[in-house]
Amino acid sequence: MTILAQPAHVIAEAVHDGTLSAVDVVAATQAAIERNDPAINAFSEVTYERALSEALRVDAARRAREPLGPLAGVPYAVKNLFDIEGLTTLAGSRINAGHPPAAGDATVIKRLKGAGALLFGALNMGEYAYDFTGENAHYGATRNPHNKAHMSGGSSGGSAAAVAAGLVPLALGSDTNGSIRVPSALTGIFGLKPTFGRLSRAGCFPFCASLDHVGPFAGTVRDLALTMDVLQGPDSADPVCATRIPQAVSAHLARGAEGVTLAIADDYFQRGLHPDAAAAVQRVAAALDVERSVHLPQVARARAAAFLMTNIEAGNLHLARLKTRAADFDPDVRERLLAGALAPASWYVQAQRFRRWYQAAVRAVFDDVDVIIAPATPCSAPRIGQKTMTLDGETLPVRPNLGLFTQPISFIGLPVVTVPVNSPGQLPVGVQLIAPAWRDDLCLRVAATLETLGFTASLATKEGK
Amino acid sequence: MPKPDFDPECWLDTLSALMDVDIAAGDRAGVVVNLAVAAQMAELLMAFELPDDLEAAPHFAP
Repeated sequence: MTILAQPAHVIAEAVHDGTLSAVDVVAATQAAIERNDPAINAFSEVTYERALSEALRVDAARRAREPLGPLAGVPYAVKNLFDIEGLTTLAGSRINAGHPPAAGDATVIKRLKGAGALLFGALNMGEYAYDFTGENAHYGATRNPHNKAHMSGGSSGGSAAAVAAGLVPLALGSDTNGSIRVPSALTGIFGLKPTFGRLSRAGCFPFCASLDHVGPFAGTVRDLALTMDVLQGPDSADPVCATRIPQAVSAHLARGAEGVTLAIADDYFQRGLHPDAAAAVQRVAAALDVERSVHLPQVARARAAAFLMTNIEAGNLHLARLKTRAADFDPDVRERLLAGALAPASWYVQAQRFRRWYQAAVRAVFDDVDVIIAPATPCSAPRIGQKTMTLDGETLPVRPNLGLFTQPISFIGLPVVTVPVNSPGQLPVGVQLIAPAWRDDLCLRVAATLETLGFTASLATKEGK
Repeated sequence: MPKPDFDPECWLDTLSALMDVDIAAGDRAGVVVNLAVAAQMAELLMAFELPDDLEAAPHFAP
């Protein structure tokens, strides 16, 4: 079989039934990365030796008729804020390049290894995750595989681009305000930001601990669900990781959107949209036969609160480095962090208190709606280097405003699947499917239905080009 | 609530001195812009009346 651009579950099935060896997966994946990554700059470091070592173990286990994990032989890579044993955890920064190598793997990498997946390396990201563009002053921009003059989105830009380019079928990223949902939308693939606290963040370099999530990118909904089930589970090393018993989501996908009450987010989520992003919401709603709209209260304030919490927590996190190594930061990031480090405490506390209010208000909205449809970004991928964009006649900076529609949702930790919407001759855009806390299964089920209706990932896999 | 005439330059000078944060000349304008944006966000947020018994959510369990 041709491995390039095959879904993770297809590769795992072939490895399980012996029609494909994990070692062959390594050779094909390495060739794809060597051929295609230089043009998109997704990888910051490759770990071919590790992938081969893991593949040899998978193949040996199969020969010995030992049970194989659900992701046996599946290649993947991770945003470079996840600890990988033996590699320095860059978090997109020059400063961290001077840190010693990680002594062990992040919890989620341990779990993927236990499931038989093969780690191919670390992926580029915006510095310290404070980014929606995929640009990085130190390591260069990650380019959108669909048009290399355009942004991948960020901050998990390398994760999205690696999947969208067909280099790996699966990648991990993090999402504090939209850093999974924005790049998955702009590169035309599926992304899952799980419920806050559902997946362990242990072994991940933090950005804003109150809002940090981790999650997968993939070319299919089934791969997202399969990965979610491998990664779930309590972890005492992450103070906010849930202690509840994991509930598998894969088994529910076949139910699709049946019985799920859907509505389109109105008002805030329908302003400032470019025509392609607005059309994407309409296409998804039409495919699901949804006409009803729903109102989320005080969304602009929720975004303001998330903005301030992020700015102030991150400013505090980096304060010592801002005092001693300011020149080594990406200038765009440094100026934002300095502002956050100087902000008044009362702004921060008000944001945390408002979070409680907003959580209760949105819970009430979900009393009679199961999944809310909203745009993921206001537009398709801007050009690399583009500093401003025009929304509703107002010129706004690109960097903070690509997350205009994602930020108010992660603020209260709701699970979201980003579904790709592709149109011929146009760059992809994405639509958010937002579910109540802990009902990640609902947004995955609706995404699965949309996938069967033709809302599939767009992989830029031109072998040999 | 920040005053409508919140002066980010004055804030920057006062707080950076208090917190011993040296702002390079080349960064000053960018930090001022970012403080002004944060102040706009704060103005919106601080204008919202919250009940006294509403607790902050730093350890958040959705």
